[in-house]
Parts: sequence; structure tokens; C-alpha cells
Amino acid sequence: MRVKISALAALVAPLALAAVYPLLPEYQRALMSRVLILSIYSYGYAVCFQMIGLMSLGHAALFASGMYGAGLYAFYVSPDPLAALLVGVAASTLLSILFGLVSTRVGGSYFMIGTLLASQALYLAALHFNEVTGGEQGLVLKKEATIVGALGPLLSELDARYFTSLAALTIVIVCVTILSHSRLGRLFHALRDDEGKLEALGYNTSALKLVAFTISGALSGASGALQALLYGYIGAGYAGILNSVEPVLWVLVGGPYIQVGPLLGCLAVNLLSDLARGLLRGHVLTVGAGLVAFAFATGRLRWAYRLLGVSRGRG
Amino acid sequence: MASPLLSLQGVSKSFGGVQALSDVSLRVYDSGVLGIIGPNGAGKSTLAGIIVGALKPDRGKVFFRGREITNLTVRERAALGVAHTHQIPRVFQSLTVYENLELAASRRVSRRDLDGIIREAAEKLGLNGLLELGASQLSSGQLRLLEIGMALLSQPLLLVMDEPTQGLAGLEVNYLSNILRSLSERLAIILIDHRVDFVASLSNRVAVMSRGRVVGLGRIGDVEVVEKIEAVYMRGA
Ligand SMILES: Nc1ncnc2c1ncn2[C@@H]1O[C@H](COP(=O)(O)OP(=O)(O)OP(=O)(O)O)[C@@H](O)[C@H]1O
Ligand SMILES: [Mg+2]
Repeated sequence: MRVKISALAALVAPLALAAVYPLLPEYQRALMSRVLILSIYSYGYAVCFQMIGLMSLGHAALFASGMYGAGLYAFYVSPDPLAALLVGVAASTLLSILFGLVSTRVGGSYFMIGTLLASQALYLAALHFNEVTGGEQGLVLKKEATIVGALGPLLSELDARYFTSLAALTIVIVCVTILSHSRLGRLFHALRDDEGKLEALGYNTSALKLVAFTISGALSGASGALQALLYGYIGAGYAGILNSVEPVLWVLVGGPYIQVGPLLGCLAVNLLSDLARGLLRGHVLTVGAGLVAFAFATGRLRWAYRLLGVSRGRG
Repeated sequence: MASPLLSLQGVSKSFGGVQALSDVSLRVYDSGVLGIIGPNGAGKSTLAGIIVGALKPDRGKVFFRGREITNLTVRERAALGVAHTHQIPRVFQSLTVYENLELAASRRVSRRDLDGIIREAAEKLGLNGLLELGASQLSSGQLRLLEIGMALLSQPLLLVMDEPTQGLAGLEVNYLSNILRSLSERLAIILIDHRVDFVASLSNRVAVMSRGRVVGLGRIGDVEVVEKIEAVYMRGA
């Protein structure tokens, strides 16, 4: 019954987000657009972390591969945002298969370290090839190469960003909700509960982990690609370690229901850290850590412990 | 006699300095129950692990239906028809009873027949009123029955049960007895348990283990076996 309610909440959330838009001041509209894009990343991360209990510290690379795939295509090849979006998602899908093939064979802390190293390698590569990628400074896309540019005749820049990210997020929420209620979703949960038992029932758990990791990476990359194509900017900063750690916080803060948790957590961390910007000089990590501490200290305690316990216990 | 379903030849296994199994040989035939009795630390669970593939022996070989399976993984052995219920039941806590049974059955059963087969098994095990319940809400007895149900739905030829009566009340033990008796007509069961009367009432043969060795093997009525049981329990106590 609780599952059904959270599924319903997941479908109501996008409507609520659309409804509040007219009420928001301009600054909050811009802020929310950014957060909605990141929420897609949050869902992507949750597919790996929350559904199968694998804690990756390298998802920034998957986000960034979507961003670079889309951005570099739009910058160098053709200013076509739709094609660029597909290229971005394809790039991150390929990269997650590669990452996944290696890292899902090992467990626990090796998985974390492996994903961390792989993503740092990508980050350094992005810096090293700065003539192509623009390095830390990044590249600015021509307006017609962006989604905002393509929607220019119809919508203002602000509206285009908000509603494109909301539309994409809605699709992601629907897909994740369907996934969590599907047979594959049940297998993912079973894998998180007891990998050895699932293996003993004849299931190929390495393949399942790879599938989950790839779905997770594709969604993270979609978020990166949208980011590039809605803001017309790509930069190596997004491939850095901070961008790998933040989704861990979002998912932990979001709570146990994967249909709505990743959105709620991402909203909470980012909106609060924006509020606290003046006080704490905008330290997302400080705020996030505070929220995690809060989550641990309240009713979420058991859930969060279990999730972290599972991630650590894979040895 | 027909060729055995499972045979172990000279299996040894140690953990660090502890010799958990030394030079164990056993044969199991197509149906009936082989009981395994022995005090704490005798090596019973280690033996179960070696048979299902969760542990690799240091020495010795394991054969299943005439084929050597010593180096096969748990999954490969499961595909050949080896199932396992654990000393502490292992089920998927975040799924319902029905979903647990479904995962176990769906590798073997076509989608069309799935629901019927799950309900039939649940009926047999007395789980039919609990199907929509989360596995985390079950009592320890119900958890055991669920794990047994999952093992059965994977349609094994050999079922290795590690202390299935642990944590069960008297009535539940009787209930389990009846279930196992009817099952043992169709498949081979290796029944590890401390309750000598329970094992004795179900088993065709009993192996008595002590300190990693099989010290007695025979029919439950054999004087020698009874003596061994008494000996190991008195020494083990
Ligand atoms: N993974 C392990 N690591 C180290 N020692 C182990 C391990 N598994 C078993 N042992 C040791 O091997 C010996 C046999 O253990 P095993 O669990 O097989 O006994 P058992 O007969 O199943 O006992 P019980 O009746 O208590 O379940 C014991 O001394 C135990 O401490
Ligand atoms: Mg044991």
C-alpha cells in the first residue's frame, strides 16, 4: 500500500512543479530549473545506490560524459540540440558499460575506489585535452546549438529551461516508477537484499549489476547533456569529485521511496544550500552533511544505515 | 546399486588453523533423506557449503550425477538442481512472500503457469494467507517455510537443509516433518539437524559427524550408529 502511495506521489510531483512555476519570482525560477536537471542525475544515481545498493564515487564522470558528448557534438559537429542530446546519452551509456564491466565485478570498497579513480582519470583527461574541451574554463555553445535557442521562437529563456527540464524529469520519474514496480526492479531489490541468495537461485548477478549501472549512467548522462544544452556551457568542473559526492547526499536525504526520494532530496539539499549561501558561503557539502546528519538522527536512521551497510558489506 | 546422485570423495576444508572437514566421503541417492547429526562445530554447515558450491574444498572432489562439479559456482550448481536452505533463513526482505516465491520459480516455470504453481506451493507450506505480506514481517517459523518454498520452486534434485528446525516450536517441527516426508519421495534431501528424534524419524540413513569427520554412517536402527550419536553428543556436550 505504501508503495502505491509513493508511486502516486511521484506522478503528482511534476504537476505540482508545473503549478508552482507561475508563483515563483524570477530568481527562484532559474534556481529551480537547475535543480530539476540535477534531479534527473539524482534519480540516475539512486538506480545504482538505492535499488541495488552499490555506492559509486565516480558518477560525475557519467554526468560529464553526457555533458561532453552533447556539448562537443553541438560545438564541433552540428548545432542540432536533439542529435546532441542523443549523442550525450549514447556517450554516457557506453562509458557506463565500460565502467560497469570492470567495477561491478568487484564489491564494496573496491567498487567505490574503482569508480572514483576512473572518474578522476576522465577529469584529468578533460583538463589535459583542454584545446578540445576548454578545460576548466570550458566552452560556450552558440545559441542555436542549444535547446533554449531551438525553443527561442516559442518560449522565453527562463520558461524554456524550466519546462524542458520538467518534461525530461517527468519522463524519468515515470520510467523509474515503472522500473521499481517491474520484474527487473524486484530483481534489483533482491540483489540489494542478498546477492548470494539470488545467485543461488540461478540468477546472473554480475549481469544484473551491469544493467542497473548502465541505466544509472544513462540517466546521469542525460542530466549532463540537458545541462549542456540548456545553459550552452560545458566545463571540466562538472567532472570533479564534488559532483560525485553530491548525489550520495541527495539520495540519503530523500528517504526510502525511490519514486520521490531522489527529487525531494535534491530539492532539499540544493534549495537549503541556496538559502544558506549568505551564511555559509554556499557550501553545498556543509548543508548536505547537515541534512544527512539530520536524516540519521530522525526516522530515516534505519533506512540510511541499511543502505550504507549494504554498500560497505559487499566484499 | 544405482549410481549416486551426489558423491563426495575425500573432501577436506580448513579455515585458518581450524580443520573444519577432514577426508569426508559420502554418497546420496536419488530420493530419500540422508540425515547429518553432530555437535556444534562438527563441520555440518561447512559440508553443506561444499555441496552447494559456496565453499571450495582444499582437497577432494564433488560429483553430481556422475559429473565432477568441484569447481562449479553456486549458480552453476543451482542450474544442475542443487538447492540450499540456510541455518539462518535467507530470503529477500524487501519483497513480499509472493515476490520471493516468484523469483525462485520464474527461472524454471513458464510465465503462464507461474501464478498457479506459486499458489500451489504456498498452499502446501501453509503460506497462502501470507502471500501479500512483506518477508520482513514474517515470524522465524514462517521465514523457514518461505525459504523452503523458494528452494522447492527452483525444482531441485537435491535439497540441502541446514538445521531447518532451529527456532521452531514443537508444532511447527511436526508440520515441517510432514512436509519433508512427502517431499523425500520425489527428491533427495540432506537434512542437517540437532534434533536426533526429528532426523531419525525422517532419514533413511544417518551420518554422524564429529570434529570434521564422518564417524558413523548407517541406518538409524543400527546399534553402531546409535552408539556413535551418543558418543559424540556426550563428548561434544
Ligand atoms: N568461515 C569460517 N571461518 C573460520 N572458521 C570457520 C568458518 N566456518 C566454519 N568455521 C569453523 O569450522 C568449524 C566447523 O564449523 P561448521 O559451521 O561447519 O559447524 P556446524 O557443524 O555447522 O556447527 P553448528 O551446529 O554450530 O552449526 C568450526 O570450528 C567453525 O568455527
Ligand atoms: Mg552449522
